This record gives sequence, C-alpha cells and structure tokens, in this order.
Amino acid sequence: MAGNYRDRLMGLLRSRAGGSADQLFAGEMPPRPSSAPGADDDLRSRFCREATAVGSEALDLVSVADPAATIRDWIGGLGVKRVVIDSDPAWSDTGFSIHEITGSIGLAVETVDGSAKPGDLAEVGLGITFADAAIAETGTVVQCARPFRPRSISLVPGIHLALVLKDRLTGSLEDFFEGIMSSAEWAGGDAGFESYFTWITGPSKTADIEKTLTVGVHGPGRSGIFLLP
Amino acid sequence: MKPVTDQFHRLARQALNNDSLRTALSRAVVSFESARVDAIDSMPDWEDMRNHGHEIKKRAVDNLPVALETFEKQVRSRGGQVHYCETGADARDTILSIIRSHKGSRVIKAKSMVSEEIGLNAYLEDAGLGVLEGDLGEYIIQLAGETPSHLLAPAIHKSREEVAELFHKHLGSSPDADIPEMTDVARRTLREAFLNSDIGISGGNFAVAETGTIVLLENEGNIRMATTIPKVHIALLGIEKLVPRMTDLATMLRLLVRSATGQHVTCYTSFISAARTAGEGDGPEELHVVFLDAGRSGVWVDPASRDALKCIRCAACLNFCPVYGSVGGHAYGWVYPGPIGSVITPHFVGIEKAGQLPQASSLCGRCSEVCPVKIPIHDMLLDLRARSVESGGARFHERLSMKIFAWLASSPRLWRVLMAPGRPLYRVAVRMRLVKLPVGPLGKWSRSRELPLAGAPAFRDWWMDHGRGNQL
Repeated sequence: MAGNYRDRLMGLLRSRAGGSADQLFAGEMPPRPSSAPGADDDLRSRFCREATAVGSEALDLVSVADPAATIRDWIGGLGVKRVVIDSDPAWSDTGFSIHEITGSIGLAVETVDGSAKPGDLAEVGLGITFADAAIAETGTVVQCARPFRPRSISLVPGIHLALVLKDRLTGSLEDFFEGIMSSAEWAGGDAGFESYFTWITGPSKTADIEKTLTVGVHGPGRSGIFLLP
Repeated sequence: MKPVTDQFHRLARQALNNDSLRTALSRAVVSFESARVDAIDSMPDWEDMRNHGHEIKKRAVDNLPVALETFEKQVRSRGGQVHYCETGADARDTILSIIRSHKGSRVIKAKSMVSEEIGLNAYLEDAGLGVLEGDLGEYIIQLAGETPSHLLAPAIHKSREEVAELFHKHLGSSPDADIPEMTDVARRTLREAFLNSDIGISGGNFAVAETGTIVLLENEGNIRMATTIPKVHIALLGIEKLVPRMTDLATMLRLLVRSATGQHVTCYTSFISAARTAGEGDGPEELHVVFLDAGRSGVWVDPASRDALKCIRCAACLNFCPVYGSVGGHAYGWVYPGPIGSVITPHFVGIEKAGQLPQASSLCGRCSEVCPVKIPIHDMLLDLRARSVESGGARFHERLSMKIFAWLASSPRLWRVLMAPGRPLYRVAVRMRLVKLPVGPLGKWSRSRELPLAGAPAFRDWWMDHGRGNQL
C-alpha cells in the first residue's frame, strides 16, 4: 500500500548512497546572467519595456503629476460595468481613492476582502489589486496569498489591473527569490509568500491550435500595470 | 495508458503516410525551434546557465531521499499531505480515495503528463466521476478521444479544421469557426466547469525541497483555476521533480521556459506551498502531493540511466529531432515521445517492450546539444541499443551481419583484400538497382533510402595520397 511505500522507497534510495543535506544544499548562487537587470539599471523603464513586450499595458506613473487622471482614463476606456478592488491596506498610501476615480466616470467599485468566492467574481469586468512584488527582468507582477485579497481577483475577471509601488520592484529573478527567502517565514502556515504566490506576466494566452497565438483563454484577456511612487 | 511501444515501425509508417499530420507537425516544430533560438540569442550566458542547471538537478537527484524528506517535512508543517506511490495503480487508488473522502464528483484537470502515464482520466471516469481537462490542447484531445502527441502542445498534430469539426460536433459551434471563436467557446464551456468542480488535479514542473513548494508553469490560466477554485488540490508528480532551493528556480525557470516555448517566463507561474490560509475565501481547503515512482527508482539506482531523471520536460529535444519532426508523438506508442521518451520509456515499460525506440534516432546529437540540463541523450540511446541487443532484441540477420562486419572491420588487411573486388561489385549493384529488390531485410531497408554511388578513388587511397601521406 501507498502508506508503506514511503519507507521502502527511502530504504532503497538510502541503501545506494543517497547523499546528504549538506550535499543537497551545497553549491553557490551563480552570477546573474548579463542580460538580467543590474543594480544601476533603471528598473522602472526595464519593467515597463518587458511588460509591454508580453502584451501588458504598462505605464510608469511615478513622476506623473496626476496619476489618478491616467488611471481614470484607462479604466474609463475599458467599457466595463463591474469593477472590484481588494482591501489592501496599501490603498491608503496612494494619496488617491479608486472609488473617487471611478465615481467620477459613473462606475461603482465594489471592495472585497479575502473571503470573496471565485463565483462572486465571475461577472466582474475588472479586478484591481496591489502587486506584492514586481520583477523588472520579465515584466512580472507577483500576488501572494493575503487575507485582504481573494486569489481569483487577478484571474477570474475579464481584465486585471495591477498597481505596483515602486519600492516593491526588484531587478532580476535572483533578486526576487533572494528577497522572499530573506523576508518570508517559511516555517509557519500564515498567508504570504510562504503559502502561495503567483507570477503574472501578460494577459492569458494560448497557442494550442496550429501554434496561433490567441489572447484571453481562461484568465484575463487584458492586463494593465501602473507603477506608482 | 497502455504502451504500444513495440509498434514503432508500423505507427511511424502510418504517420509518414499522413500528409495533414506532417504539415501540422512541420509548422509546429519550425515555430518552436525559431522561438527557442531567438530566446537563447538574447541570453549570452546560456552555456553557463546550462551548466548550472545541470549541477542543480544533479544535486537534487543524487541526494534524492534527503530532498524528498525535506520537501515532505515542509509541506506537512503547513498542513499539506504527502503520499508516495510505487505504481501507477497505487497512485490512481490514492487519488480516488482522496476524492471519495471529500465526496468529490467533478474533477478539473490541469495538464499533467504523469496523469497520462497512469491513465488517470479513464480510471476516474470508470469510477463514475466527471473529469474535464482544462488546458485547451488537452481539452481538444479529450474531445477527440486521443492522447497527447507533444509534451507541451498536446494537440500539435491537429489542424484548425479538425478542431473546428470537433467543436462543432461536441459544443455546437460553427463548423468553420476561426481560432479566436473556438478559443472563446472553450473559455465559456470550461469556465462553467472551473467554477463548479470540487477537485483540482495538477502536475508539477518543480518541487522545491527547501520550502516544500510546487511550481506550476502555464500560459492559459487553467492551472491557476484548477488550483484556486476547487476545495481540494491534488498535485501528482514524479519523484524526480525536485530542485534543492527556491533560489535555484531563477536558473531553472530561465532554462525551462526558453527551451520550451522561447518565452522569458510563462504568462502564469504559480508557487504553491500550502492550502488556503486563515481569512482567505478561495484557494483549496486541502493540499495533497502524490509522488509517483513507477520505475523511477529503478532508473535512479542504475548509474547509466540516472541522468534521465534530470529531465525537466521542456520538449526541446522533440522539437529539434529529425525523427520526431517526421513521425510525431503517437508513433512512439506511449506518453513520452521524442529522444527523451526513447530514453525513459524503455526503463518504465521494459526494454523488451520498447526496444525499437532507441533505434528511432539518427544519433545526430541535436537532442543533447539543445538539452537545457545537458543530459547526454544520444549516448544514452546508444547504451539502450546495446542493452536491447543483449536482452535478445536484435533479430538473427541483424546479429549475423554485425558479427561479419565486426570481423571484417577489425582486420585492416582482410578489409583491404575484400574491398578490392567489393567496390566495383557495389557500383554495379547500385547502378542496376539490385539493392532495390523488394524482398528480404535489404528490400525493407532500401524501401525509403537511396544508396549513394561509392566515390572514386576509395577513401583509403585518397587518405594515403592527401591526408596521412602529406603529414608524413
């Protein structure tokens, strides 16, 4: 039976010089590849360039005088009826309110916390979140498990808008992984990077029929990203 | 899935006579090849990455029991469960009993080659469960009642017309729907299924020992759906999927994705270390990791084959193989096609049942050249050929002709004496097309080959005059 097989398998592997933890975790991190962003690079422009290349609509609003106006125009141009935002405490740091922005164009925004169910979001046109991190090398936004945000808010609605605070932007894949390994509490079972995270890099796509690229299969067909101060 | 790996010659011949398959294959293979070449050109340190990737997988595989135990301890510390299964049948039973314990009835599947390996869908359907594939390519194959023909693009062998006909028949879409319309029909049909399934089953591209994390790569979003919405997530993985550390993923993801699709990263990459946490309303309530052995430990204990466990299933060796590019995946008769399939399948189903597969290679070595973790695939194919002969896989005339050749080739004098009259006779035979006689083993061999006319002068004479002669 399967329950006993663990011990038999381990016994077999160990009987043939099965190695050790020291050997498993030996080895140095290699130098970053020369194509990955370095410390002196302009991460914001690299991020926007890479995100645009994979089909996201990415804009750097860090130095823009009125970022709210750009966000309002972008959302207003989508033609969506229902908009949902998470209840991330980071909203209070932005200096503007999405409710006010969308209110000015006649759209009501529903705020949800982590307890929202995927079925509740099925008819939603736009889901708005704060990214927990972003990676310049690949134009990726990262969402992890949080009590104030359903996992499906960046997946089930037709369009996803991610706001990225510039301090959360990292350069290379190595920078990202080293960052979460030094910050997350891997022994616990709490929400955060240590329980679940996902990288989102462009809108959902497929090439399963005749290798022809088609956007918007199961996930959002449009992906917007705004970098904020 | 029941292997028909002893049917390679027959299935390959069928494939070679199927024009629409060959058109679809060559379009797909060219597209995969050029995407990979572009992606690697943008990374000047590619060879360093390959070396590092090889070293990471080597450490994980060589220290497999520690890696598995570390992974397991981490998953359990966050409430997940880990199961080990010796055979495909054990894995099927384990998965069914998890589903039964939750009174599950609707299963949504994310693409998983291991689930194809153990014939999971048919088993669960026979047990009365509804099983739907969420990946578009897998869904097409499921509707057609077929098996995948490529590790990444399961429906690579189907034309858009064939898919349109299939969707028309099963989903009522227009018989001449274009690709975006078909994608939309699939989205709507599967969306309903995602929202109403109670069990999600996925594979796993990597399992990180240090943190107990399963890493899943995709472009469509079906894996995120299957691992977010149902109340139970079951991840089915081969025991070889481990990497030591989270930070190793920087290299491994670059290698896998560039080799597979030519992207820099896939659209979605999910890193799952636990079921839903306090305060979350979605995400599975339970996480089960099912590790499958099914022959892998046998590969592990054999020093000549252990390298095969480093494979990260990128499919680059398929896309660059002239044999795969001509015959497609179904000719290989089981789940894993192409050069790496020809290496691992004989270990999983037995060399006596899969002895033809290591022969399905021209040994050009492109597979080893493109392998992102530097598996010496063509050397391993040669080794398997030898094993196949040792286990009685060669026919009498093959053994006899090789014995004669070995006897001739190991004596330069004998070779020279026999070649003197042999050359003119060979030229006459080729000119008169005598070797095209459609009988016997020679006839079989020459059916699809043209023998070249031997050059004059003979290489040995030319060498004496130009090459070796000049140096002396």
